[in-house]
Amino acid sequence: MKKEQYSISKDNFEQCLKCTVCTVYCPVSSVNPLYPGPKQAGPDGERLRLKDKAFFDETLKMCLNCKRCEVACPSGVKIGDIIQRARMNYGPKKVKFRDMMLANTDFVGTMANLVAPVVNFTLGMKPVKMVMDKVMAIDHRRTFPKYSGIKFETWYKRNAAAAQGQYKNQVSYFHGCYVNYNFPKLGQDLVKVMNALGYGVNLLDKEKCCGVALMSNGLTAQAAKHAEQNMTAIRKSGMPVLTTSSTCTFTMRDEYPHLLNVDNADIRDNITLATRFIYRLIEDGKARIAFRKDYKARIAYQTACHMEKMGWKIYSISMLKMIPGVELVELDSTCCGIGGTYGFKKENYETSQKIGAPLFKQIEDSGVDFVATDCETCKWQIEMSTSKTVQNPISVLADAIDIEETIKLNK
Amino acid sequence: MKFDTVIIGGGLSGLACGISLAEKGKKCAVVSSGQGALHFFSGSFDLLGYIDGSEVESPIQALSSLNKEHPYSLIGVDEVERISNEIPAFLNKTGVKITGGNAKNHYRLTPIGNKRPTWLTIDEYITADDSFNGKKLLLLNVAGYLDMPVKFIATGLEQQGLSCDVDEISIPELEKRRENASEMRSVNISKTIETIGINRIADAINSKGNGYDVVLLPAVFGWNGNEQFETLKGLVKPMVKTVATLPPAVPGVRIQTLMRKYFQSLGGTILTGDIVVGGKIENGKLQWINTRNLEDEKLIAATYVLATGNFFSRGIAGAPNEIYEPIFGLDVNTKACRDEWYDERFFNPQPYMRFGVSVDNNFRTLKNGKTIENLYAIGSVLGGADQIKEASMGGVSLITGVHVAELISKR
Repeated sequence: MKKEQYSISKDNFEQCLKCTVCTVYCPVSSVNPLYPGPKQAGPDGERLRLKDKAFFDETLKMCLNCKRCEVACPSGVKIGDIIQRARMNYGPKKVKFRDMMLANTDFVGTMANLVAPVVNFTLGMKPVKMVMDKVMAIDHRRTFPKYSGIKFETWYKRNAAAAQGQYKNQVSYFHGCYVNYNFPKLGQDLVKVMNALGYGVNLLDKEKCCGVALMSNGLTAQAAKHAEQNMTAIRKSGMPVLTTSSTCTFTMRDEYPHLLNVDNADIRDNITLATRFIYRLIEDGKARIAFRKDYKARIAYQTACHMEKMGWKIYSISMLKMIPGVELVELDSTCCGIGGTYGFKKENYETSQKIGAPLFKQIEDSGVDFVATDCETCKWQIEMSTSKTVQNPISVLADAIDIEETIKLNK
Repeated sequence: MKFDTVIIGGGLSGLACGISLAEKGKKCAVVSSGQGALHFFSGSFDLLGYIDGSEVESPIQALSSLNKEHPYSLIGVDEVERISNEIPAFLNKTGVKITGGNAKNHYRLTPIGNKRPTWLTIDEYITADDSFNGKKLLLLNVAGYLDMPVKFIATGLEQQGLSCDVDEISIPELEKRRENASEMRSVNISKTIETIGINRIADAINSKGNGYDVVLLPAVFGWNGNEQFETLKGLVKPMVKTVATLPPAVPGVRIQTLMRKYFQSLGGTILTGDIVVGGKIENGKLQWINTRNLEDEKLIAATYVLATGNFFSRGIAGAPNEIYEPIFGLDVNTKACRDEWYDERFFNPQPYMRFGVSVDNNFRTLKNGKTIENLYAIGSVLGGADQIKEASMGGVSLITGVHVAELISKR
């Protein structure tokens, strides 16, 4: 857009007309009056901070980085980026032990998986939760995601790696921490579906956590190192890189260049959600799917915040709608309140649950069998706060697909 | 991705057009770059309020005196009358309830207490006509809410010969909102009322409203539906009416939400927070368009509608030496010499306010003087009228939106 030529900031903050539209869609300021809201915390505050960093306001840490303000802004101002950058530049440099533990998802995941049964058991115990609450300020009401005991990477090497070479087409897979440490089944589902479509699935060379939790917990330099390593691995792969997490995808495509100044322009387009990749394969006639005749489900789709920001829900929804037995209910797009590690923190628990309340009600009222979403932290939040289970659209597809027939169609 | 029609712009005109087409079974997508001008809605839709600065009493009778470039003149007086007759029922279907008619304007009360002629006003608003003569009015603000200038409004009502007492209500949860004055906004209050429950609000109103015929409240009820205000009406003894506030406008956000949901319930697709970055015009037709978020995905449709708004919404853009349509570079009825854009007297009609996209008699756009056979334009992006000065913006948006939908479905 030509107007941007006249901007001096990369966040477009001069384009803010003070119109207040962003404040209508901020999930935090709607439930927590102490948060100054996106307009005040973003472009309004930035005018002052540019003069003197003493204007930095501690309450900016209440922003959960959902970016819904940016989706709503009619003037293209990157409000969320302005707030995140202010936190990085002016926020406290000393990071709490708790935040370090929550942020280092891959280190903590590796350690926890070594003794997964013990960790799962103790994290579920009330006295342990109380100690974590008191000592670390991780809210005792929060349910922790379980550790799987066997990493996805390990499963892949033992059970899948050898067979991938036989397929005529090849993709890479950025599985992310959640699939690796907590829920390898999603990765297994992706391998199953892609193999049936005639695609071999490869892992990246030394994938690191995307870094989203490091960024939101003030560990910017460490996040930038992860970003560099991931971009190197993706460049080396030379293949389309599929993902199953909307937040990992958004972080690698947009937060790396915007917030970490890691240039990804040459490979950004290669990083894509698996639902998008599959939908486009089918629509372009490059692959075909046979579905099980007996698959029936009424599913509610929850648009995760970063999915809304990327504008890609149309792909996940269209892919799910391809399944003949699926009746899809599109929930009103709204934040579930978890915001990654945000809702785990004691000081945010109330806000987190209040933000999610309208979504939980929609889900309970929807009469669906389960919820589908592209975000793992939405899954934790919804499973903890409603009576429904949550599946990634790729797992839904893996259940609905007739593997034998699909393999034949794509031979 | 293939659609029958892709509409660029998700404001009033885009949604009106999309709804009309979707009702006829057309597969439509709306690409919406941020939220629209309805968030600054006055509470009334204007058809035609002024000609050359003089008030219009009957908009329908005044249509014939408009210049031939005016969007109404392009449609034709009889057609404008027919469509405007149908608009109340059209809005009612989406859940938007209004009063008024096209034979005679009534007055709306502006957020600063002035009166302006208008066509349709939402049911809940007080209108500045004689129906409240002799009534005892109480203007009841929410304590600490600054976006309703109480004294201005009371003075405005007094100038109409009405007497009006002023008071305020206070509820602990709303008091808590005052801790952050900048976020004591209409929509946040509306969301807080959802959690407080409308019964307690009604109790607070009843405790002040004894002995009054009408209680006037700021329009802070029901940002996403009609229920909140409808329930309130049943619980409060005097008649309850609301007064327009400064932005964000709760009734406008509600209208946007209701129209979007209705469009989606008819099978319409909305791409939120996305912008059209280009397309291919060949053989006098627009062949496809691209969006920022969907990247190389081509959106292919038989017809396209430009509903991108005026300067504010970036449908028309200005640079130091040109005024242009930023997506396709369509013909704009601008003046070559910058001096002719302005009138030096600020409050005089400004020529640039009449600038917009040029269209042929069938609302098809032009590029370099040649008609683009399947790209239409509607709403505020159209040139030929100063829609703010003449008070015609809502009418032009709704009526051109519906008219073009009819032209498209006749193809």
